[in-house]
Amino acid sequence: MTMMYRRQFLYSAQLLLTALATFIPGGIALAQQTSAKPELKRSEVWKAAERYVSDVSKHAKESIGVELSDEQKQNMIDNIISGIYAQGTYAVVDP
Amino acid sequence: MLWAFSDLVAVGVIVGALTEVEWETLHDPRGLLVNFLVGEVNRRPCARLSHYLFMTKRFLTFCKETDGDARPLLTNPKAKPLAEDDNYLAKQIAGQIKAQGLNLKEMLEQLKMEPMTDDICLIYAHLVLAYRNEENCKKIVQEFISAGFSVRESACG
Repeated sequence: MTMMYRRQFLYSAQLLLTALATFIPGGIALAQQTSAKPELKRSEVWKAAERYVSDVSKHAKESIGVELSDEQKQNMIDNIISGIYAQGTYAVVDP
Repeated sequence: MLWAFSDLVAVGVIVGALTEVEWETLHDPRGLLVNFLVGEVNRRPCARLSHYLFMTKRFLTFCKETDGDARPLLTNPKAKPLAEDDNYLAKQIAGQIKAQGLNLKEMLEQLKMEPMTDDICLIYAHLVLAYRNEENCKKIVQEFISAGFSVRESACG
């Protein structure tokens, strides 16, 4: 009886070790990949997006005679930032 | 014979009652979708198309600047710089075309195509992205003309 339990224990331990050996390297690689993601400072991207939207608004006023409203500008900036998050290449971090 | 004649009269009345825009829409809305781009606004021909092209070029500059601020992860095969990811660019530009309005909503309401707003913005975005390296929209206008749309060749002059 004791022998049977011992065998079962050894078998379970072997299974556990195999599982660990299989999943841990994958996890480490994933963690490395995530942490190695190049970072962008949200405040800097925000400023650049603001400049971009301001230029577009100025051009719209000159060429079409319609200046973008503050709400439209804000929506465009928000969409740009969330678009960068969704695209996934960069980790956008707060300063 | 009389039935056929009365049908003809009915069709004539319906056609007569349609405005030019409605008639053109029934025929094919593509002409109006092109006109929206190349039409005159504030005495400027091709106003919206020129504006969208400017916006696309400026957005590419923004993306390149952003890419320059952070080094892309070369070990990750899926990592793409923003300025080289056409799907991202098209989605973003389409979103901005929609956000700016410029009477797009009104035009699509008129065509009863409002539910297709996102698709149409994406088509416009793909169009301007395809010509992102052009200085102006002359080439796009030429393409429209060769595709059979009635656009004045000097529209973008």
